Amino acid sequence: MHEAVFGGIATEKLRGYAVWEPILRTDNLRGARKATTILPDSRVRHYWIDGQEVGVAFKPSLGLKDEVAWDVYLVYPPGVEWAGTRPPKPSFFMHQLHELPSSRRLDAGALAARLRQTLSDAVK
Amino acid sequence: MRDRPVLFGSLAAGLLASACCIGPLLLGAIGLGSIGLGAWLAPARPWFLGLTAVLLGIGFYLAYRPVRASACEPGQSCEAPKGRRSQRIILWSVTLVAAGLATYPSWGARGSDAPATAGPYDSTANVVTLEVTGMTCEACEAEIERGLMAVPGVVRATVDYEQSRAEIVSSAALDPRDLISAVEKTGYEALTVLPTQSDVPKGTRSGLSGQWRGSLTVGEDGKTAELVVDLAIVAGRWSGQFDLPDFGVEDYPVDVAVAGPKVTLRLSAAQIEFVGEFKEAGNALAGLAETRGNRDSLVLRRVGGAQLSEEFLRLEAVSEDSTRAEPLSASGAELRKRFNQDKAFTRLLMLLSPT
Repeated sequence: MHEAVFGGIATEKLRGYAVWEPILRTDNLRGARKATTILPDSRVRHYWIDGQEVGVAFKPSLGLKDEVAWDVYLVYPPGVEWAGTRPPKPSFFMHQLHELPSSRRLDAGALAARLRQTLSDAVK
Repeated sequence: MRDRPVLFGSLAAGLLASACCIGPLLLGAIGLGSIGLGAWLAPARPWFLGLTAVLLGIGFYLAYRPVRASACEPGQSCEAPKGRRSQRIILWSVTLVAAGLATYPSWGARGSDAPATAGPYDSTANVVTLEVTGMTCEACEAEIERGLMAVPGVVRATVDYEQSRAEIVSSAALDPRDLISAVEKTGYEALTVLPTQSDVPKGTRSGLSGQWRGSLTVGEDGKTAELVVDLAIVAGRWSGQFDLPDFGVEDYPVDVAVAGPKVTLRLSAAQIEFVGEFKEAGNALAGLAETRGNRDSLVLRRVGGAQLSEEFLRLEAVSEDSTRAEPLSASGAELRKRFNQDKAFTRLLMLLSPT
């Protein structure tokens, strides 16, 4: 993931947010801190939330009914704003959940290609 | 001469009672200073003192007991007044020597000719504090001071038995390892003391200390470990040690080499080297740029750092921001704020589980 996306896209016009949330019983802040090493990039900010509130808040944006949003990757072009409490809809997303279409299952290469396209579109 | 074993015994006991301090001196002189004889014998010192007193008491009894002339047989010390007189002279001589040896720990330090101060020094002199282990009495202080004063550049050495500390003042920056080696030659052990915040003299470069904490990712399995590096400016030089608690690695030295703007931290025990274009601004080191190691993949990032003083070094890795997991409130307001601040950027938001 890191190599394909942040390692492969050098531009400073990309920003990343990794929200680490507890899904398994063993998930905690210490684990989240260790996990930050998976995405070692100065453009990525890491957050830890001791609950699933953010995952729940993103359910409507992704069309999830049962599962909490986690292991999901949401792309936003420049200009999109997060107004109010409801998160904005992404222009593209990928996931590793059961409930969402398999056509959007995470493929790091495809995600990177989509990000490049978004970055390219933003320049035009 | 059945008194002879008693005299030798009291002499030997007196020697053993003083061995906690004389031992390291003698052994140090023949190159066996580090075997720790003094520390080993120190707990038994009261017993040796008691034995000395008992044996001398027996000796005095034998030398001064009243003897009937009729009880004397040819060849015994009571036979002639001259023989008994020489026995008493020997006894008193042995008593003096044994008493001197037994009380050496008390007067040895005062009797030392080790100069605690050699010449004037100014306020900008370098000060190194060592923690000295193995001292069992005040007499040990003088011997260690003598050893430290023999190091070129040292203008004052003060050893405190009570505090287990040695304070060394030098006219120029000295390598603490040379001082530690000097202490070890006298039969004791020493460690560099990293100053605490309260020790930090304002406005000076000496004595600053701090801690830098990072995490290592080793290999493709993403195994992480906590790395703690303690660094200090000791006597004008960067010095330090590191721990890898997850691997049971503790108190290994960090070699710090400064060559212009390039600073190298060498953790030789872990075969890891950090090379950075550090800026030495005031008392700070900033900017850790590159990491070299013998591992396939090694990512080092700062996850937290202790700044023991405002003036202390700030070692910051390139990706400092990405190493912290900032706490989010239930509303996710912090994320929303950042997301909107970055409105001009293309953004990738990931919701992930740590495991």
